Amino acid sequence: MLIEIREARRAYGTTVVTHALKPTTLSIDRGELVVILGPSGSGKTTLLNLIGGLDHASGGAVTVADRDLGALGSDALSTFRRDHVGFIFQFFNLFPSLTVRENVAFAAEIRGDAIDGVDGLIAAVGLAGLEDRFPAELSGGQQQRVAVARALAKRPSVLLADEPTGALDEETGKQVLALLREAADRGESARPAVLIVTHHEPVAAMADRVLRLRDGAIAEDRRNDTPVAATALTW
Amino acid sequence: MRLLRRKLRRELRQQRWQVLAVAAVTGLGVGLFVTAYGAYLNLAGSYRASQDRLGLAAWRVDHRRIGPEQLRSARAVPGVATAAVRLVTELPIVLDAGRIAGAIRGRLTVDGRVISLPDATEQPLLDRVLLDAGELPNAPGEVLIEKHFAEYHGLDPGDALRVGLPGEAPLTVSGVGISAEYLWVARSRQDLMPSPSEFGVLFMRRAEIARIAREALDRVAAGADDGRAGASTSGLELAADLEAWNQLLYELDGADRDRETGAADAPDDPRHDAVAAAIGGDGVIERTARAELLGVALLDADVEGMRAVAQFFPVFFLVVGAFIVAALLTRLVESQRSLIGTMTALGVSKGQVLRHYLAFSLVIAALGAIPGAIVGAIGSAVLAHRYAAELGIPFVSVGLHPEIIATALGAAFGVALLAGWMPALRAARLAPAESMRPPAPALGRFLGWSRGRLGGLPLPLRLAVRNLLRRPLRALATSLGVAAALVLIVATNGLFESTLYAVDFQFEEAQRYDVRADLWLPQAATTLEERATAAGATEVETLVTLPAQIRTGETSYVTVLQALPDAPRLQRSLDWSGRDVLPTGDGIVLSRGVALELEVEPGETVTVFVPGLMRSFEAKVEGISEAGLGNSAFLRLETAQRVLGLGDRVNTIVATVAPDGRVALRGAFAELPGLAHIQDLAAMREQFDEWMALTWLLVGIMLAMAVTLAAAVLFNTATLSILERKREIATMRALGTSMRSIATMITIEHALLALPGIAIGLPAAILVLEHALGLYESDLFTLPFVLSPATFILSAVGIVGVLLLAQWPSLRLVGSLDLAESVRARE
Repeated sequence: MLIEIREARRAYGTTVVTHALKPTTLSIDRGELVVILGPSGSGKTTLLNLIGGLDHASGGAVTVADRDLGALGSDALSTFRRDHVGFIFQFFNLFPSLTVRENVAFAAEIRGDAIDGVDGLIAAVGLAGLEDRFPAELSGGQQQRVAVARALAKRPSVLLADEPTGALDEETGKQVLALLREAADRGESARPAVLIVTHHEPVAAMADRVLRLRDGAIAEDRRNDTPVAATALTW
Repeated sequence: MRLLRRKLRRELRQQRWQVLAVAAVTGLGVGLFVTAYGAYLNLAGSYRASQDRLGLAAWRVDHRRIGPEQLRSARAVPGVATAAVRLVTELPIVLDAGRIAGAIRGRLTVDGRVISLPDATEQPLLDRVLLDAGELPNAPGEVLIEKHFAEYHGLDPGDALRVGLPGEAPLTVSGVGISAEYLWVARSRQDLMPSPSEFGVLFMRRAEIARIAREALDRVAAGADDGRAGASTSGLELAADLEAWNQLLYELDGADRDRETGAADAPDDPRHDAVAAAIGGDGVIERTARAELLGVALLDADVEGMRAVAQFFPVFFLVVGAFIVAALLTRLVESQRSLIGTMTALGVSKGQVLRHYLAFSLVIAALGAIPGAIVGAIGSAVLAHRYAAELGIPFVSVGLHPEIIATALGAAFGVALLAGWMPALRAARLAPAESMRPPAPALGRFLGWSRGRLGGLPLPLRLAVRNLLRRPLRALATSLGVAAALVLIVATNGLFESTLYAVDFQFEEAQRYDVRADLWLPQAATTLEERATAAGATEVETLVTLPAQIRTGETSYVTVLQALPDAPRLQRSLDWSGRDVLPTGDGIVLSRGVALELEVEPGETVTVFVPGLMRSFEAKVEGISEAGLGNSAFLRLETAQRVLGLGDRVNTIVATVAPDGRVALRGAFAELPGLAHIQDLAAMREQFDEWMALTWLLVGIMLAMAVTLAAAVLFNTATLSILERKREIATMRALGTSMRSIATMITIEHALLALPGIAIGLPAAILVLEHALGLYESDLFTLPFVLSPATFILSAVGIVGVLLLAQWPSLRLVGSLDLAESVRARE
């Protein structure tokens, strides 16, 4: 399994303790597109953060790509995120001082890898011709596409998208989701697991698997054998 | 609104370190202004108070001889309020255990300036003496000695000294006094800071001076002159005449002195001519206004430096403080866009929003300005007291000077208002709906320019450059802040170095001797050299030194003519780099101060008049030499001896001596026939170093302030540039960038900000230093421009070092950021 979560939990606070995620056990394989649903405060983002190594579990174990994240120090976690995780944030989080091409090449650059195929990726997300634009010169949807390209550029084992359509209109949102679907389906053995956190119910229709969280616990974990194309989603 | 006030308090607390940094800069500016300007006013007031209470005359006329009839005539001139006469004469004083330099004591002959006190009244009408210890001299042989002289030699009432004239009349110290004219003891324009081991001021009853002079003259007449009366016989004759004086002191009716300058009456008032006529216009040598008296003028020049500091440096601090406040407030407004929208949506008026954010900058100004003003007010009093104690000012007048405090506070609040106005206005103008959306990202012109241009740079450097291009104005302001800090540090250091260089130049290069003796009457050089060598001198040089008037056209200037041997080793004429600037043939070399006063350049011809010998000759100016203190004109010894008709005679001997032979050499020089005075360079240096101690203290304070300014600017720059990009940096970390890489990128960015600051700062520092040196320049003081590369390099490295330290707290904060939360934040 690519992602193995065993009894992982996350609590905040000392005097007043908030259980953001109750002990949870979960496995996710490569190529799976998982949509995580739930109301605000249900623990979906916390789960995503634990898997992405942005946060650490208060108990239990989180293993991703054979790495026990609880055992990794700060530097090792950075390396893990750099090599294995692609992030897509609700507000895009592009670097305003870098052009589209540079934003996409960022991961490769910090890894010291050869920078190739960037223009191809940009074209693949539909932004050919905009490579030298700065984020300030792009629409929200275009910026999110750049974020997707940036996340894909490092060929991650896990692609984590937190409310990726939250700041987008319907059409643009669908296009971005289609790109994520494509990412999950692309390649054979190196296919990433794609986890999308959203509170937008219709998105579940495109998932291979739907996790529904409530009060910090998984309330539903079901497979969807007939995922629909993102562009066909009813918004 | 109470809630808004609470919000303000909390925000100030949240950003306390940045707030404190800005407050510190503002406080330094206000404190420096109130301290320096307050101290200036306190000291100027103290000088005036001392002069007024001691009745320092508004006008003084030096005259060849004033008798009782002439005094009566002067008093009868309509419009003359008060007039008095006195005798001022130079008499050598012998101390059996005088202090020579440091702890060395021995038999010492000192040039005494004896000033007469009236016989009929306790105190003179004008130029009274304040008793510091003992009593005024009343019994025969009693003398009152000036405080600086008494303190230096440890003389107290009852101690004995002698007059170094034939007969060596014994004197007893009746008391120690303070004279307003000699708060700064200067002998002449050529000897502004004589050591008390060489020169002292004494007060005696007129009858006692006459008695001593008569006794000396009697011995000379009887052939018992041991040569020590020298050329001063004519002076002794005047002194011996009980009804003769050589100075008239007077005040005119309706004298209304300027509080700051002390100037009284117009110099072209016709009553001055009437007074001159009354005492015999032919005998008038010079009329001097109170403010022009050497000691008064030197004190004024010294305290003027403090006013220059007060007017110049605080502006730096306030402007830099304004930049930081503006940056801080801009960031606050940007980070609170949605909050501002919410406030206005809830009914808070635009005016309230404007006032709320303006209050932020005003509170910061208050946090700095109020303590700054309090510390400044205390500092001005402390500084004035310390200065006054150092100079022996008897009446210290220290006031609060509310107008200074009000000006400082007004400037601080005004600057804060200006700095806060734009960001606060931007906040007030935000429409609720607009402000609740994330700000539309703006692409600066410079960032657009960089498109496709920086691709070849490594990522950290490219990011750093682009980040600067995103906010070019902020980057420029920060660089200017760095430049300002650098200017302050480098210029202050430069002032220190220049002064140190001038002092070393004067005492170690231009004057390389240990002891110097000037004689009234020229003597054969070989005789003097033999006596010096026999007394232990290791190296000897003889010269001719005479007061001379240098003329060109209508302009003239009195200086000291020094005729040097062809290859002088002990008394030299140099340029600032230490190269000899010597006359060849019959040419003359002038000190820069003299050349500037006369507005002559090399190649021009001047007329040299030597009043002592009543000779004059013409000489071509061949060069300009430098002198830190005082000035001279230089001739070749052979030329001077020829044109002045001296044959092979000289009247000055300079010599080096081993430290343990100094007392013996001075003793031998003191026995020279016709001795005018002895100069001991170690004593002079000691005197100078003592005077400079306070200056070094001020320079040290300035330097500490400059470093604080640099630290505050850089700390806030570093903190703001990191904190306002928290999400961006968190995203980098989320994408796997190590903290080391992020720290490298931020360090590069700050280094890029520092570099232009340094590039601007160096030439600016040079200009400021030149300006500052110019403030101190006069015909008698010159400071060379000295700025060692080490100073600049160390200052620049220091700035970079402070920058690296200043970014450390923010980097630590970024390192401990909650990534999960930060990447989701909306900026």
